[in-house]
Amino acid sequence: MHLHRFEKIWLMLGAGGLALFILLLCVNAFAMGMAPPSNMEMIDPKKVAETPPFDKPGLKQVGDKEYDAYMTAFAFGFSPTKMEVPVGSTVNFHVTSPDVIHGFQIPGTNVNFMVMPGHINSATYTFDKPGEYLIICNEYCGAGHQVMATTIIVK
Amino acid sequence: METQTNSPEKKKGHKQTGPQTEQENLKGTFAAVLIVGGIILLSWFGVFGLFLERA
Amino acid sequence: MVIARKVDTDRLPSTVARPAARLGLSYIWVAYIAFGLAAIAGMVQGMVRGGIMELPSWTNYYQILTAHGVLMALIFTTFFIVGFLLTGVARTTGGSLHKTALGWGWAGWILMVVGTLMAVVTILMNEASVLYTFYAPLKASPFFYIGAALLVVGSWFAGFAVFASYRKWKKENPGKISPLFVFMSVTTFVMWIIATLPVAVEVIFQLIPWSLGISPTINIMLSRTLFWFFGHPLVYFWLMPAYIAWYVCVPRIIGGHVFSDSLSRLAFILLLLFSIPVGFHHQLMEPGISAGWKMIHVTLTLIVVIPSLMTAFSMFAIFETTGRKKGGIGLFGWLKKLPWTDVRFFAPFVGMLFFIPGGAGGIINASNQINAVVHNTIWVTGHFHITVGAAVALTFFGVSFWLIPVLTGRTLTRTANRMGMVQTVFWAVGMFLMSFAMHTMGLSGAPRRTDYTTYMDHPTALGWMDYQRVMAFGGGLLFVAAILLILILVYLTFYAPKGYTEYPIGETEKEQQVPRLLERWPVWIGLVAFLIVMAYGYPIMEQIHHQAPGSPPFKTW
Repeated sequence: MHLHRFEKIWLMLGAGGLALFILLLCVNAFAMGMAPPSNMEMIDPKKVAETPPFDKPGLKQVGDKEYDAYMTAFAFGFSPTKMEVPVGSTVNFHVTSPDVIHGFQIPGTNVNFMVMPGHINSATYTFDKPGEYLIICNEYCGAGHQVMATTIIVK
Repeated sequence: METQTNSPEKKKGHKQTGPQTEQENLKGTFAAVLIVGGIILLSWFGVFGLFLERA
Repeated sequence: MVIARKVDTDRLPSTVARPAARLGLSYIWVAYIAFGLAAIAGMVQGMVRGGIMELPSWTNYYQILTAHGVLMALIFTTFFIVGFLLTGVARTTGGSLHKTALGWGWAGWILMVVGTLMAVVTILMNEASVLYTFYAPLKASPFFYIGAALLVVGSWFAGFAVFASYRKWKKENPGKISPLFVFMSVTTFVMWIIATLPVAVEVIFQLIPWSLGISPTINIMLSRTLFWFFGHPLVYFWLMPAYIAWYVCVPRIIGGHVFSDSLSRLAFILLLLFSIPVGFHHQLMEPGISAGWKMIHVTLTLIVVIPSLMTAFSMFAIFETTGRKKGGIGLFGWLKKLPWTDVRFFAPFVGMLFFIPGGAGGIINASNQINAVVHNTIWVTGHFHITVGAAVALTFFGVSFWLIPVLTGRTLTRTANRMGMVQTVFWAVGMFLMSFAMHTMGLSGAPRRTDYTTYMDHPTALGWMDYQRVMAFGGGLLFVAAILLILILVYLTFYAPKGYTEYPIGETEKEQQVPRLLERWPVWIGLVAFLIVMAYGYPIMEQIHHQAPGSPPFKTW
């Protein structure tokens, strides 16, 4: 098989570029701890309401300016409905669903993951700027999907 | 026929075409694919930048 | 050999015999009926999301969205692809399909039409507003899933028609390398059949029994993995026929030659190998799949970019060599020599241009953690509208402008050609505006698959509204283009003047050596199987052994 010289160069540049992407992604994911949300914990979706800590969804302070947010995403809302943290707080979100698949996204941040029945998914974010952050469901979950949202207030 | 067979005289034909194709002027093609590569690199680093900024 | 030559002189060199033409036309018209209905749904959706209109109470956004997605992405594409490939295989294997191939072809058509009707009826009855990805535990009517299964099995039959023609050609031409069009069609259907096996397993063994109430719960993780095992190669099932048109038909249309026979085949073999073991890049933000396995699929995904880089080079090379032969000089002077007023070239060319940002966006989407920026935002919708909705669709439109006249024995008149040019421009501008707005909005977090909402007038969401109006305007232009397209195709089918139209099949300029290895199917299928086992074997085993408690069905619409 015969390759034109320019095509050889092009394919080498292309493969090199892709290899660079892979390298950067690996370093960023595994050495800098920014791998995508891949929580392996499981839960019975039919018993979410009676399984701690999801029986009492809410914020739990776990350190100086660090919180665990145990939340449920259901058709069509999130629980708890009200959350407030001081500026500079780090919040570890842990979310599960008692019914269908939902999404969990805070626009303008990297918090964006799937909430699946039977699984718990997590992400961490440090809120350095004050404001009322929108939390939305970004996976179609039924007729009321577009109203499924809440906020977290950072003061 | 569509492309080729492996009969001996056609193999001869191929030997002649090899170097000829090598000289084909493809600088425009090369420039064009480099532009494509540039677009890929720019947009990828753009969104990667956004990701790092939002972390 | 002698017999073959006799047949060739008996008829014009580039037509398709009546029975095969009738089959092809039947597939293509089902495709365009689905396309027309889907276009109406798409326009309505754009208007609703743009805040320009509200839906009456007897329907809802998600029902229309499901109709749009199923009809465009599954029905239009699959029917058109089968019609295009079957007629192309007929054209390049002597002008006709033999009885066995026609039998498989019609059996496939019947199954696919029945499946389509079942799916469409359940969607119209609001029993299947589950979108075209039908993620459990949203539960549609069992007939929706059975319809989907029939569609898939029907497409396998169409594949068997291609394989049967290929085998017949091989028998009649021992020791010869198959025509490029046939080779590519066989590769496409081999890929398609392997890729649809997991979704068939999902539908038949998981979704249907569960939706009938036979099994009370479903393994969500497994169902999603099986779906995306199929879902990404589905994208390549759309793309590969467009590549066939680019590699084989476009060179002939512009009066040039196939750039490199072997490299074209190699690109297709690479697509076959690497388009399947990559599904986790659609599940990057999911729990239950470890970060390591995600990265493995991401790496394999980026490898499948290589055949597309090869394609980019080949396309420009075809254009440059042809343009230079026609007197084009300088670095880009050859561009001026291309037939810009011939819609058969113009439409697929515009499609190719869309594929440049489309490909770049695809690499971003597949880039592991970076996916968090765009996951489930409307950026993704913008992405697949410029890839399948522009690159692939414009190519299919461009093909239709000559394929329908070939099949009906009519001609593409100057006026029809001009209307096709106008149609292409409308589609391109509409798609540009719509997808540009979608990409931009997506980067600022606007979700996909969501009815009009301001999230209680939250400032973040209010910031999306202007873009949503641009999106709706683009959707309006697309709808105008869709109507125009249907009118042109009706004209070409029933009213255009009778005459000879060429089925354009490009050839290499000189004889080229093609490595035999490229046609050793057991080698390639073996390698595909190996890659699939490597990429999926362990994760799927884990998902079965350590499964989360199952989910009962829900109907939340």
